[in-house]
Amino acid sequence: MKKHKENEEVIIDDEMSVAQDGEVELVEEEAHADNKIIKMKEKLKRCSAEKQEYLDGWQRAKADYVNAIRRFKEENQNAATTGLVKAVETFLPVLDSLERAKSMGKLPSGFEAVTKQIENAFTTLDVSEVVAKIGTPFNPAYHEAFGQDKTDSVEQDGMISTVLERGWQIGGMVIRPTKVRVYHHK
Amino acid sequence: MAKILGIDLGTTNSAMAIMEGGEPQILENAEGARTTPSVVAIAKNGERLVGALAKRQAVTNPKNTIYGIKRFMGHRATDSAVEHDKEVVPYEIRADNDGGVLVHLGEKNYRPEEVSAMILGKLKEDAQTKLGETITEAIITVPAYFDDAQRSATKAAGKIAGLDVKRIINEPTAAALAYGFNKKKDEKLVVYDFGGGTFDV
Repeated sequence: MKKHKENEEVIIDDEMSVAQDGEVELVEEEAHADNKIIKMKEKLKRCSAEKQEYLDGWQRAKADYVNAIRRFKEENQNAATTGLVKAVETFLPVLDSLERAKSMGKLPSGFEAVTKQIENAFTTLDVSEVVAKIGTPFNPAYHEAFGQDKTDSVEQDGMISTVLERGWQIGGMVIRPTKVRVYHHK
Repeated sequence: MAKILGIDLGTTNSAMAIMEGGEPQILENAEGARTTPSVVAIAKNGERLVGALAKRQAVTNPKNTIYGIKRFMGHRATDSAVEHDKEVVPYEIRADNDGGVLVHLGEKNYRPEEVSAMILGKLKEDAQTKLGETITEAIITVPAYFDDAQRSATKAAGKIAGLDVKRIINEPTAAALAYGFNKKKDEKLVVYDFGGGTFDV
């Protein structure tokens, strides 16, 4: 009888031990699950951040692409003008030199013809002179002031007094403003 | 996503750029130039001119044409550099009640930040026209030797121009970034800045 009771106690102890082991396992599993959730949350956070980064990058690249296409079209349209501007800018000093030579006295007929030829070429290319007449108002959109000349006339104040170097434009775009001197009333 | 405008607010000329495909791209201004003179003027007819147009009429209107305003950014009117420049520039420089610098333009006095803001405003408008989108954010470069007051003044100028200045960065740093020093192997770079107003290495 006693032995039987002892056996019972052993069985109860075993059951308690099993129950305790079960609780420990459960706690461990819960802790493990919690860790897993934390890790998964962290991973989700990282993934969300990465997703946002990739989305931003993709949107940026898409916008860049759309803008680039638009700009390429514009540049294609403007390429002819840009090339023309560069070519004309290269030739302007030649024309300026001929102009200066002409101002020193009459040029030999050959030089006159070359000047005329350049001017005709400019006309063909839609390159025209910026209008800058003495006595007309100075306008910084078309003219660049290089000095002032005193005048007693109030009406003359702010008018062009001298044209130093001719200005040129293509269509409405000023390639080089006319270099002028301007009347100044004191 | 709106572009952030990179601005080199120079003493003599200013320039602007955007990042496209990871590379900096200089934007041309309304006149088709890659640089804009850092000049502001009030013409005789009261019109405000900024950039090339202001520069072209400077000879005829020296008292109302402000150039080199960067030299006065974040300075006190009593600073020796300001005292010196006051004797050299054709426009009028005064001191405000707090001892700050004021420049006389048209009928009003302006702080250097306000004049710089006019330059930044033109760059902003030209960039918006060029890109076809609204620009609200910018990064502005300043010389590496600029102190806190000068940097704050530059930031304030951006704010006045309606720009949220995300960062103020040093000019040589910007040059090195444009070169792509952070993408290449370990190397030492010397950056030369051949500016119109200053020359730094």
